[in-house]
Amino acid sequence: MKPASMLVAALLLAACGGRPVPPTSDQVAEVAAIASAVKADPAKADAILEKHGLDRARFEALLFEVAEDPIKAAAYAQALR
Amino acid sequence: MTFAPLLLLALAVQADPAADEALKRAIQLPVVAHELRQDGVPEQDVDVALEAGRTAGMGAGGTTEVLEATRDAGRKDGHPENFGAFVQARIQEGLRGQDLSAAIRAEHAARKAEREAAKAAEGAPGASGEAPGQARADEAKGKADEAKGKADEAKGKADEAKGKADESHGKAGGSKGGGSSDEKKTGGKGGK
Repeated sequence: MKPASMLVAALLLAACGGRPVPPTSDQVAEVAAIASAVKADPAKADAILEKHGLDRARFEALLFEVAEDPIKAAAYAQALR
Repeated sequence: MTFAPLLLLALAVQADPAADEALKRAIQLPVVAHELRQDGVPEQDVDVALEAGRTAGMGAGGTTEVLEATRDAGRKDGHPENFGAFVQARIQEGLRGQDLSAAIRAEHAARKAEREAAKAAEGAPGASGEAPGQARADEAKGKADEAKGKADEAKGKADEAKGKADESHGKAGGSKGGGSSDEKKTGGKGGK
């Protein structure tokens, strides 16, 4: 597993009460990068997510966490553009 | 080993275009939330809608659909106050997908028509009643009633969906029925 991917995995391992710990700004950039890769090739979504230590449910949980924070959501939107 | 071809086969079978489409939509969740905030929707409304989608198990894709409907309807008819509560109530009632989007659009249109009716009534002259302001007020009220009818229709569908859900829940879990119908009154249309 790549160090960057371990970052996301660490977030998920720290999950409490079924919700992952909100990602930091750097991690938001990584989530956006993963999202871009999935968007570009949805058929390979599972493989892309797996490479980052994620599955669809965990990835969606991260997307909720990013969406709930105005600053992170703005950064994500900017990165995805 | 013979496992490799089986694994490849399993991965191939797992490919699901609908799920991929949902994931593509899910990716837009933070973007649409950001757009709503940029459009001036209060943070609390965005949070309530996100939380409602999350806790109802709609997934990021389904929740994005709700936020997109809210964004588009708001851009067309203006963003109404306290809209998060309306969305939350409809989700709790069991409304999903296109029915939920339709209810959101109808509610936006109804609130816009109500605002216009109130504005027109304000501009109308008091006693004489024949002035054009009164005609505008009547017209706006007609639109408000029409939009409200659509909103009520969507709510009817929600009630029906909830009834079905309660019924199947009752069948599955014995005599103990569904949630309280009082919750249905939350949020929504506000005062007339």
